[in-house]
Amino acid sequence: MNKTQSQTPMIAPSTSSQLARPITRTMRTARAMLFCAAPIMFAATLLSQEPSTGAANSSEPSTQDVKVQAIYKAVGGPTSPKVPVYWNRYHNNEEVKSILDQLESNFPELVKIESVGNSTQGRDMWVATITNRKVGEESRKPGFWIDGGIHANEIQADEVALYTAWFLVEMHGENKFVQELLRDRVFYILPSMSPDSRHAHFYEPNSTNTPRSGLREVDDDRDGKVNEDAFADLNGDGHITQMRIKDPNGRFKSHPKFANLMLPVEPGERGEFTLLGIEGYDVDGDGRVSEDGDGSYDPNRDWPWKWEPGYVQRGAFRYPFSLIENRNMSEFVLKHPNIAGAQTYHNTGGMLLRGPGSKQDAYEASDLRVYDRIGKTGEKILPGYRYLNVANDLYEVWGGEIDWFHQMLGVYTFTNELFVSYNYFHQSAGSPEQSHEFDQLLLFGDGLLEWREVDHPTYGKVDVGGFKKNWGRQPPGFMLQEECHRNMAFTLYHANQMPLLNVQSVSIKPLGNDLTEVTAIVENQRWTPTHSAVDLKQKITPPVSIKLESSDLRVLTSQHSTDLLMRNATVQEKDRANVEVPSIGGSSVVYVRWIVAGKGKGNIAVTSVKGGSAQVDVVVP
Amino acid sequence: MKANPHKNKRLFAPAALLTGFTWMLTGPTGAVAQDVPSPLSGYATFSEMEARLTKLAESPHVSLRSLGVTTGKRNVWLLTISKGEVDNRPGIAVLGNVVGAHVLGREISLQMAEQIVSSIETNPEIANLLDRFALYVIPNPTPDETEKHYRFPVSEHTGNETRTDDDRDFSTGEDPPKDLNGDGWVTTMRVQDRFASHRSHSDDGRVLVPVDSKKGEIGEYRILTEGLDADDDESFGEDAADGVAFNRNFPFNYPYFGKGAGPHQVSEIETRAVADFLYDHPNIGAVICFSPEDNLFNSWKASSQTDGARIKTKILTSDQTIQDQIAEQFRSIYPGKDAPESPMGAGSFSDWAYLHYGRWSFASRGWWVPKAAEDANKTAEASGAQEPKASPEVPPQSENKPIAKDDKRGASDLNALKWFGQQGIPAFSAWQPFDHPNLPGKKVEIGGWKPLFLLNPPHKLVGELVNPHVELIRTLALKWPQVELKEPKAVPLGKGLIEVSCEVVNVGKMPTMPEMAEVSGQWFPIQVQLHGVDGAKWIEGSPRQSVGRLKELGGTKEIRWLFLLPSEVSPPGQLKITVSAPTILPVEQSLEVK
Repeated sequence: MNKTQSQTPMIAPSTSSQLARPITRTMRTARAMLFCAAPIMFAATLLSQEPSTGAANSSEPSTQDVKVQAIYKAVGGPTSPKVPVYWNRYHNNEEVKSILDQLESNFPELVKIESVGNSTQGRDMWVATITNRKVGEESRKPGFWIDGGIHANEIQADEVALYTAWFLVEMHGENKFVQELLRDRVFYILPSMSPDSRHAHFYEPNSTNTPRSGLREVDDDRDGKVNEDAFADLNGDGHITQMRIKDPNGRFKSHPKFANLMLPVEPGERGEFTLLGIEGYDVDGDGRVSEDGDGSYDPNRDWPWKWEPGYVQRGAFRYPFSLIENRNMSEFVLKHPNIAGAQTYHNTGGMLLRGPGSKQDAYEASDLRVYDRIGKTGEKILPGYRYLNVANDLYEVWGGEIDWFHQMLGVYTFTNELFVSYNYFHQSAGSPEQSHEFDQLLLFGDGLLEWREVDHPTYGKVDVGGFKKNWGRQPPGFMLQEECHRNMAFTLYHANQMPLLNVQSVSIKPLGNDLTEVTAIVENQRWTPTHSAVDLKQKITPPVSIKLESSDLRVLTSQHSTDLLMRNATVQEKDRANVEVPSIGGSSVVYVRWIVAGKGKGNIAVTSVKGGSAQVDVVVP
Repeated sequence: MKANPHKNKRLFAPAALLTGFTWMLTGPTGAVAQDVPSPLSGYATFSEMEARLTKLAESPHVSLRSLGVTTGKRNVWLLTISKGEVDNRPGIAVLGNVVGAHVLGREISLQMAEQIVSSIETNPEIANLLDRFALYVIPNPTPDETEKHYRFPVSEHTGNETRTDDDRDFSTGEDPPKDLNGDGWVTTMRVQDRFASHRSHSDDGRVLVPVDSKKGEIGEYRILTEGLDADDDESFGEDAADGVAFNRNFPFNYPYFGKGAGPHQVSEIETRAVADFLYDHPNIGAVICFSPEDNLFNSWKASSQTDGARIKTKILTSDQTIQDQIAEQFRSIYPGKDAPESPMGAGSFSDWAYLHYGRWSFASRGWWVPKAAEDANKTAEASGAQEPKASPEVPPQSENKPIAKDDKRGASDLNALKWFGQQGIPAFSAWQPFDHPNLPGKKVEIGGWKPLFLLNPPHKLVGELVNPHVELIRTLALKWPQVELKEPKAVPLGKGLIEVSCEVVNVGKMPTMPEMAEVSGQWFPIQVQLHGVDGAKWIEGSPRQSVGRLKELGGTKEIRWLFLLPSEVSPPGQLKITVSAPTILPVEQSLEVK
């Protein structure tokens, strides 16, 4: 790497001008002066001008930047972030908020933080809106939604979302891809969907599996008392682990190599232990241990599409959006119909999941092709991860978040199940021995609590031990940043493929009798359509509007077609200046033609709720 | 128009003649006069209902509170009636009109509350009922949807004040139904069209029936909502931004993207308030609502196929037996017969109350047009009904044969015309030619049933409908599950070992919960607890045991406890067993360790 490169981390204006043709930018007004004497298609000359406040604004190095110019940059990340964050550790709610606040105060033109509402216990749910606010209107840019931690025990989910926010703004000044992304798109990032339970997971005794629920008080065992029999930290070590009791006829024995690991005995073999489940008492004297603790419901079974009650779908609460956190979030999302792509983060198992969640449900074939393309690329970006369907490859889910996004809002959505045992030794096996061996060789025993004897009031002497709450589903610190980055890369790949409209060209053809044919080619520069198939079917999003606005020109008739020769054209019957196109496919164009009377100036304005907007000036000489 | 339908009102309401208004003095104070649509004449308005609820709440046995405030700034009122502590005894919930236009439901439920409260002191049966039960009455779960029917011109509305894009064309409220002929009613338009779906009835040309192509019939009329095609989409009056319907907003069989369904299930303030209230009250065991989707006369039918399905879509066989017994009792005292078929619901409250909430669920239409008296000679004239039989409106060019006597098409309309005629109620608007701006050259007539009349009887008939519904509550109360503790025994087995046992028996005529409740898990099981054994070491069982569903008339569960009293624990003189669940009256019994 030569010295010049390392010392100029920011993009210079000259670099900026080498971006894709300026006219292809969705959110910009490309001023085009169109003259055309001959009836030649595409003969228009498009002259563009840079917006006065372009993406180059952030290219001025700050004092801090100057100070760190000597730093040898590790590629793929910000050279010297204004908001320093250690991405090898986990952040509690207050730290998450503090990072968001710092991003906002350091990058006010890029970041806006607001609360979508309060959780059950009154915590704010913070969402970061990230886009280059100096270019284009936020609400008219295609939006991408990211959330994490709907199952709060899956704590790295929040970190990936937070990392993405941090990365986008910190890299904005030094990476062309990110710069274009924030110029053309808006990101809505809500790192913590279940902040109460995130707090509980951090500061209260829990296991790696808890709390999956939120913390609304629920009488799980329907005995009239609420949360009276939660699991309990018998040995006071802050972790909820397993209980076992010595039993010469038990069905489990110690692993010969990893003493902590309980192995089921083979037929004919005698065991040493009976497993008694997770740590707890029978507080309420009903013969059951730990059957009524915090929550019990599953926030990811609370979404309206194909929702079914608890007897069909375990974890469903009262009715869709009966959980305040999801309701808060949904109200925000419904106010942002420009959201065209979405990503939700979970753990665990290394999966890129798409819906539907129920085998009785189906996505349209053309929508599946979009998912397949993103998902297959994701498998490259995330080694060890598999692109799968929830219903057929995992288990059935009724009322999951991604089905709401896709089937009710028409938004392409993935769930990533973060962390995969492939990461242990870069091989797929997933045996229980692996995690113990990994703990021995790479964590030096930091992931485990050895079995310790305690007195249990009901069971007598029992052993308590097992994996700590922070090991099993979560990556260890040294792997966390890679997990954040690779998953973000997948999500940005998806976000970049959201529809992006542009007026490719305009041609003018005199027809005689003071009539002129104006033909615009409007292209979708990405391979996601402006309307998913389900969007069209359910009439979710208005059609793309391609409007010839002019006080000089009178539109007599108009039509559009996907065919160069305008065969099978659809005639615009009402409001003929405003041609409504139901959808523009991925990497496709639509030809729009107006026959106008008169001469003079006009403007072609393209507006798509999920595909952004574009416009060009037009002159009929 | 041959006879002015409002002629009989002239004395009272000269100003209302042209608009179909009825003038009435309202309110218990009698001080406020206001216009209400004639079908709702005599019915309590929202503010009158509030005044009467407030009055009821003066009783020491009644409390009144709001479950929520709607978009239209109206309260969803809850009236609680009980003697003593309300929430720790079995409850029965009554919802008034879950469909706004069905104002009758609000009226009956209000009068039920008044009848019950006024007879607490005088009627021992009611007093006894309220000793054992809490009644929760939500007379108007649809305040905004209901209130729309008090506006002029009178139109039938399907939702609350949330603005909705009813025809999903991305503009909201651009083509509402309109009272084109200015008669005060939004009715229907019929347009002559050989290719249309309807023909006129040969017995009465006002009545339109579906064409039966198998009989070689041809169309005569298209039927449209009275209105314009303001958005030029060839639909008429199809988008009034008419809001979200309470009775389409519940999660069972939810009509996704359907008209009135809302953005998702339980999206509205009203539905959420009611659903949360019910879930927060596990003591409620049965729900009665008023709805055109009746199941008292049109019993829900079980099937062995759906019984075994993972996702239940119909009533379960064992529950149908119980619901049928109760409905049969109701039918036997209800003054009407020949109930019309119930329309199919989707996202309805009563389905949800059974299939998701897991409670006994009854839906009453309350009233329908009775069978008209046979003497039909005077029908047309007396009715102010506007046309005689064999109307000239039967198109002379009709190529259709007369409708046969045994053909049921149009029968309910014919009967209703006759009945309203006999009552002298101008419920039907005569078909009148109209020069429609969006249908140039077409023969268009405006007329048909006026809104509200077919769902809401003349107010003088409401009185006799109240008591059968009070009796429905009493029937439930009399059949209600009731547990007894039998054969309690405490036997010392020596050396501090004690065995205690008993039988928990349901002697009521209903099971302790519907089978659907057991399936859905939305019912609190019976808890049987042994008290007075602190310090015991449990050999078998635990101090508290839960009991699942017990069948009606003798369903029994044996409970056994075995425990050891260590020598340092002094032997209990007396033990106590308690049996409780939110939906049953608690039982307790003491016993000596012998």
